[in-house]
Amino acid sequence: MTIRFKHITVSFLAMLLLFTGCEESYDCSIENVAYNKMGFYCVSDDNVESKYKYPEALTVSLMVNGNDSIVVNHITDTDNLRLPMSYTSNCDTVVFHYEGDYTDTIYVEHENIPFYISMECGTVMYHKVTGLKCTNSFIDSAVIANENVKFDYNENIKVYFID
Amino acid sequence: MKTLRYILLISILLTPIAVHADNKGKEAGKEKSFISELLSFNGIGVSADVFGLAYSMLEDYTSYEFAVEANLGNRLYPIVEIGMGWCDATDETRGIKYKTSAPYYRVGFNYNLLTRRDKPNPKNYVYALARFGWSSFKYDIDAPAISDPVWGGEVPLILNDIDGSCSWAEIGIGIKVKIAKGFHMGWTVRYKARLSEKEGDNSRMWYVPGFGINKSTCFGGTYNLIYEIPLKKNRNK
Repeated sequence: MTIRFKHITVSFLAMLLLFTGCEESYDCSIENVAYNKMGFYCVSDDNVESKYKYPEALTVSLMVNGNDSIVVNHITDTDNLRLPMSYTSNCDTVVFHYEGDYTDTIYVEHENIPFYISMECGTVMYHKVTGLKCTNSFIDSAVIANENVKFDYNENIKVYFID
Repeated sequence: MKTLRYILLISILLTPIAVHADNKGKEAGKEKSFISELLSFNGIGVSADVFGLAYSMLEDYTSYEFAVEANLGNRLYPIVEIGMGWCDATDETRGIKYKTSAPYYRVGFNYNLLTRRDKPNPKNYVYALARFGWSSFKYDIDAPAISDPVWGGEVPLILNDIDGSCSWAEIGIGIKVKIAKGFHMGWTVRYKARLSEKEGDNSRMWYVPGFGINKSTCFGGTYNLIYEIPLKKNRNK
């Protein structure tokens, strides 16, 4: 076996070894709904932002196209929410029900983006948050943290409570 | 890790050249230089890939291509490949249809690994190859309406003439065998790495002409019939 032939053989085998397992496969998301991720925050007097766990029982309902539905019922000490968004409406109404019949409402304006991923993963619905309005019983303000609502773990909306 | 992979692959491809250059250095003055060998124009070859004909019977997508290559010193073969890719696929489970047809282009070279000084023009040889490919095209998607699982209602998803483009790099290995005077046949196995892609507002490309299924990397192959037009008499046929 000549040195050249050995060299070619070794090169070819090395290439095969390197390529084996290199091919990417489709990893379709396990989830089929892109949730609007909300995080709760508060700002101290010296302007330091920190996560805020709402200490009392909190019930959250969503109103879409005139239909009202409770999505979170009497949870305590939570600092985040994952809320489904409407595919056909451009504004979801999120109502926070506190103890003592107090409420706050957040209006989430959004675009709906039907998206084709691949033959293997099919189609999904993404959303883009375009605007926010809120009332101020216990909530100070709400801001868009990441406008793109997809299958990731990024927070989309930051809700600042009055501390 | 990805960068390391590319460095290793490039190293493997360049090693034969380096070895040759080293050996040549030792024989300097006895024969013409490696560079002048590569500047020796020995002819051109035209080839057609017939792998697509067989592949079209197995899959919903295929491609056909032609290539023109130049023979430089029976060692380096700069090559241009022009092809046409088709896809008309339907996912029976989901009822999604994807359709496109467009040309694609590749430029690169083959490097003959078996050329020796005592036998500079072997009839059959193994070669390493490298290519840069690209395609710009339009595609159609016809998918069932997306249902809202929480609130109800449906949103249609029918997209036509979506602009897509992709560029990629290929490296691989091939074999070329003489079957008659001037005629060769051979095959190549190629590892393809996507370099760039254009994502639509409502879709990703699924099939890219010339590249295949749109993943970051994939394998491909060709089966070629080649006719060489000699422009210069070769030594040691």
